[in-house]
Amino acid sequence: MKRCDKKQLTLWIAGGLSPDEEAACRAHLSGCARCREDHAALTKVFDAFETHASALPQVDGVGALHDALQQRLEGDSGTEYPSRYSYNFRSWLIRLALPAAAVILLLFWLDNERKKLVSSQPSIVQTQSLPAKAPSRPVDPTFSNYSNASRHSLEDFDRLLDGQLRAPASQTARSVDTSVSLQTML
Amino acid sequence: MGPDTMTMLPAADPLVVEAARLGDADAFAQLCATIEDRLLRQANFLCKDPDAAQDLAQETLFAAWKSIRKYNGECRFFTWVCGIMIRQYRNYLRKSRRFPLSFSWFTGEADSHDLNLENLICESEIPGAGGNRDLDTYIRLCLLDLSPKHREVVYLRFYANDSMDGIARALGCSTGTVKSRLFHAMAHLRKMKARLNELR
Ligand SMILES: [Zn+2]
Repeated sequence: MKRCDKKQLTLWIAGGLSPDEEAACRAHLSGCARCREDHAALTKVFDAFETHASALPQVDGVGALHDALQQRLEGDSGTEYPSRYSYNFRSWLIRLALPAAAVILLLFWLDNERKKLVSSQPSIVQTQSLPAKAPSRPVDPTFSNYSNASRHSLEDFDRLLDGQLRAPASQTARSVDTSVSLQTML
Repeated sequence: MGPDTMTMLPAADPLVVEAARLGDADAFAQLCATIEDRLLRQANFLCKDPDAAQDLAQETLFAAWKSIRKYNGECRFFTWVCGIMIRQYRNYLRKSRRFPLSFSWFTGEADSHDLNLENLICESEIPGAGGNRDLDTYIRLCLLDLSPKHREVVYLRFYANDSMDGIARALGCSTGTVKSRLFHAMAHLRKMKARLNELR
């Protein structure tokens, strides 16, 4: 150690130097008052820690500690490595569970609504006639189209309902007329 | 009151270590039986409370069991467990909330000044009363005033009484890193000693 080196000085006191490095430190110290002062101050700190560590008082409870550990070891399934993969998988599963449940509930509700709509309108199939004013998108109220109702959007059903409920009187009359003419024909 | 002689503990039996590593709880308990006394003394010093010390020592040993497969026998078993305890001690400090907390304290990059020395002294007995209690308080203040990484190195150097290489292996870093941290920690402690003398 040719120059003042506090790090070497610290490691010397801590016992972290090789014999050669220690000899160099010692040689430097003999000719450097500043490093001697540093050395003395650091040694006091080291001594305080070493004195303290070597004289920690005995405590009660070693037996209790041993028993408690034994109990925990007996109740434990075994050692484990915290698996990054399993942790990630679990955390993703937890994060996805709620949105997935929400989507399933929504689909279930939509399907239920669709079924209600279809079952409440069987007469449409038989009596629906074209509305006076043609809708922007043509609706074909045939049975085959109702059975494929899932292909239609809810808008189609709305249009269909509108067509039946708001059908003009003349249309209803026309359908009655048709039934009358059929009766006369039979 | 028997002194905790800092004689090197005998090296753990490699066969017992291997059995513990393979999940043999009895072998692990056998390993622990050799260090429980020293560990509990240290926990008692760190926590200043026998119940908290029991908890700290127990949590430390159980955490060691949970990660025993990571212990490769390159450092002494006691040093490795002490490394776990000083980290568990940080959790204890967080939970006890006896000291001012900051974001950096939570993220583990706490600067030594996050635990303000003057505040620490207010909460402890002021050194100068004499006797072992005085030294106890001084050392505890020193450890608390260090950053977590510096505290680990200082703690293992004095309380596990291991070499720089052993400490490096226990902490999973290089010997150069341990030397560097020890140097900075001791420089800080030296300044702290001067500050303590001024505050007295
Ligand atoms: Zn010098």
